[in-house]
Amino acid sequence: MRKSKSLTQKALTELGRDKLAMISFAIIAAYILIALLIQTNLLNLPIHDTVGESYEKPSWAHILGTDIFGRDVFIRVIYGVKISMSIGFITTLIAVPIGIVLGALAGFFGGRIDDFIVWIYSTFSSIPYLLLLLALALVLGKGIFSVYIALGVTSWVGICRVVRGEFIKYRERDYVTAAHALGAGPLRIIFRHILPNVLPLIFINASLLFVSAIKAEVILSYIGVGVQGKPSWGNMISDAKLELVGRGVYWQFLGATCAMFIIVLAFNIFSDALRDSFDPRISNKTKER
Amino acid sequence: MLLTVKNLKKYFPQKSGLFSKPALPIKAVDDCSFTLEKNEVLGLVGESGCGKSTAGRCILRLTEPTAGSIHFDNRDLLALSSGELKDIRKTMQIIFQDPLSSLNPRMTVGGIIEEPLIVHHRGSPIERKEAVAALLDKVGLPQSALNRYPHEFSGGQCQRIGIARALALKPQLIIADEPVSALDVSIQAQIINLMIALKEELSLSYLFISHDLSVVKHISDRIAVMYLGKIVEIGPAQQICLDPLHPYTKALISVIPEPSLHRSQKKTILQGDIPSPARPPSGCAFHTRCPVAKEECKKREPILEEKRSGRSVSCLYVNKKV
Amino acid sequence: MALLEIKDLSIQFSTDEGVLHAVDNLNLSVDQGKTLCIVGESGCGKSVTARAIMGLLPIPPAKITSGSVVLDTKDLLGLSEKEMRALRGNDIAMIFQDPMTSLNPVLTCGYQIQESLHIHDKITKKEAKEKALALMKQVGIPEAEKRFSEYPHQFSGGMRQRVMIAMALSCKPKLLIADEPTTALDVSIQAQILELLGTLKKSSDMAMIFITHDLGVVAEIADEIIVLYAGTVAERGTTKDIFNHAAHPYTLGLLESVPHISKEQEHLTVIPGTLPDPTDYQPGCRFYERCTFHSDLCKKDPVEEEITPGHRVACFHYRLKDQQY
Repeated sequence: MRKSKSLTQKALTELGRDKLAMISFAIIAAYILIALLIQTNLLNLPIHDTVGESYEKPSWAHILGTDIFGRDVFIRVIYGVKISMSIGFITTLIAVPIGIVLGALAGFFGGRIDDFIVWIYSTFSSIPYLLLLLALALVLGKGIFSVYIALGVTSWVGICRVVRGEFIKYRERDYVTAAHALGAGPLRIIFRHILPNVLPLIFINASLLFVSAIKAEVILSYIGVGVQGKPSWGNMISDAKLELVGRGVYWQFLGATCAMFIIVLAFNIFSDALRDSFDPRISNKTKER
Repeated sequence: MLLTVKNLKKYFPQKSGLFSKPALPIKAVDDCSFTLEKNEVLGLVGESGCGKSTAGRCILRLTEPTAGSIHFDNRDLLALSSGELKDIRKTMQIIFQDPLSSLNPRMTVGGIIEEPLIVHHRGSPIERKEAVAALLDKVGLPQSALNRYPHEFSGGQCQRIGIARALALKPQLIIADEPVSALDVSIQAQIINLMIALKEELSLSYLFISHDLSVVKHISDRIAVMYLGKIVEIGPAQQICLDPLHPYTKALISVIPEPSLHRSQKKTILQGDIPSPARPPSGCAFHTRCPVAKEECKKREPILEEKRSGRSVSCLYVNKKV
Repeated sequence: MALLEIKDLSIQFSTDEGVLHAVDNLNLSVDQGKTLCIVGESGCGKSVTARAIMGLLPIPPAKITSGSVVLDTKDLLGLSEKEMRALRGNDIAMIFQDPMTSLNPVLTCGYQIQESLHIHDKITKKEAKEKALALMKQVGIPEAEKRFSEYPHQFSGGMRQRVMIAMALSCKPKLLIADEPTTALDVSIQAQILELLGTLKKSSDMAMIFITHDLGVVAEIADEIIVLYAGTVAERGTTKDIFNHAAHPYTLGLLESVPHISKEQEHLTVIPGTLPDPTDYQPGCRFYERCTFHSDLCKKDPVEEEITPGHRVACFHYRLKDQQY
């Protein structure tokens, strides 16, 4: 007899077979590791130290050259990993629970609760996050903390929509009806019967959210309301815009863009692979009807 | 009497557009009355949209009826508090049409069958495990099924799992909503026989909902035929199938394909489509397709009344011979 | 000569669980103007066969490992996709179980019939519309002029199936493949569609392959019957052969396990067990484990034996069928 596998195990086996997805996963893991090492001070990066002349070209000593103050660009790009990952992580951590709870309540109970929650997220999603960020920057002061809050409270809407839609779909399923008929309460039905089925989709959306938070940070820092005083990729690209045109200094721009490009690409490939492996329609395509 | 349903109505309101006239409600179940005795099987037959499934769900209060009364074991089901409702759900269970979609794909078979016992705080974990093992035996599944997942089983086996879950709380009434329609022919017979055996063994009562009159006839003591939310004929199964009185039942029986080359009956093929339950025809709802309809049928609505002993028919032109 | 002749057709699917044997060494032929019913339960290979004829198998995962499908001296398996496309709709047409998913929801039904005329015949738009209307009337759609410009969701299930039939008939195919065309319909609507297919058959010399699991439907429409079990032929013969003189234990079991409306049955005879795993067939008769007659003889592959002309059964024990089953 074959070994019995749950749907999740099946999906993960399939995911494991996807080489591209596994490479992406390794890249994501490497970024997370770097971020953790810097965060816990196990990796102490001399981001403010002057190591050479202004605008040294890339060399073996400094792979990505130096910036205007003679600081090593490569070290600053690596430090940017920590900033980006922390923004991605904390934004997701704020947005996903809000999205799940509100989406589940709206989708499961429907009626007035649904109307109210839909009203809330319609309102939230109509606020441009740039505007909210500018407002928050005024109140809380510019900096990474404002970025967390602004991105967190605006980006739960997407997850909430998805979760609400899935709950509406699943609450009509026969096994949910069966649970009702058994006398199971709403909490049991939400957590035992519906949420586990929605979870894969939440993971996929959370990982996309992670990416969009990273991208949002770059844009915010570029226009000057993002991270202050620390080398984030947005700041570096912002600094590089004049150097690139005026002096042909490409390395700072190249370093920050590549670092961002790689992680965004890895996340996108990984989310797509995740979606494919969890989607029953795609994974069963080989089955005969 | 185990179950008494009186004048049950369920109207589904339809959303109307911003500028259009308010839409008419869909009259899924329109004034249905029937009874079910202990250890009896009542077949509820009809074509799609006739309201048979809705009627079943109203009895379980999975949808709230619009009007009418449902008495189960001398208790008024519609007057129960949510606590009492949870309590009474132990005694009524449901089996679904699609065996796979009625089982949570992320739970093991053991977990699925054990769940009703957990919800109602029955026994210790060890006692529950024993109960689950006994239930697997009862529905003819191997013990090895316990730690496996629904998608590893065939349709017939999934239906057995669904039946085991329904039996876990030792119910008195099971509402079987098209339980064999999605199964292969050779598996259908297995499930029907299992349901009959369980009924005898556990003295269950079934409300057996199906579109397939030959299956219903085989398992039921009495049959109620529905058309557009109304019961058009109700009576003992054999009599209804061998000597139908209502023109709809007659036509329905005449066109059931039979796996044999010796058909005695002439086919009566009904013309046209089933009307929308939002706009049922005036008078007798069947008059638009009835082969023997008269002018009177468009105007006067027939009522379901006893025309033979134990048999009620809702047709103006079936003579009373009690 | 037979219109369609399938010889030794074997189809496999590669799946995560291994190689799935969908159809093994299937032989069949259909004559002009005849209706062949392929009967069997899910997974017996009946739909796969239909798709193979139409050239609609997803390759991969599907793979045709042997055999030939010859329509009018042309081997369909050797044709390119382009040649196949020209053939589909022209020489062979197919109708499906679920007419809703086979119709495009954003186009009117009339347009879709008209389009299928356009693709294969070079005719003007006006002619196409007239022809489409005539077809709609032929398949019994009332008020065809009005319904011409309605969308699929405005049609009932039975009416949608009529639209599908009209599309299939639009180019007068030589062969119509109907894959469970009435399974999703109500009994009274099923009767209408069966009646329609019966009239169409009488009025043309089109051949039909009708795929179904419902023996009752088979009794009404078939000239010849093939009973498939687990990808192989269990029994074949005329309608009379199968219903009055069934010889294979599986056919007998199927006939016995169906409740009849006009017959008194105490207890339904059951075929015990479940279908064998299609990725793991054991050598010998595939019905072995569920068969009450099985003996060591059955561990060899059964071959089809002719009982009476045209009536063949793949069983070593068919002579025992008169004994108690």
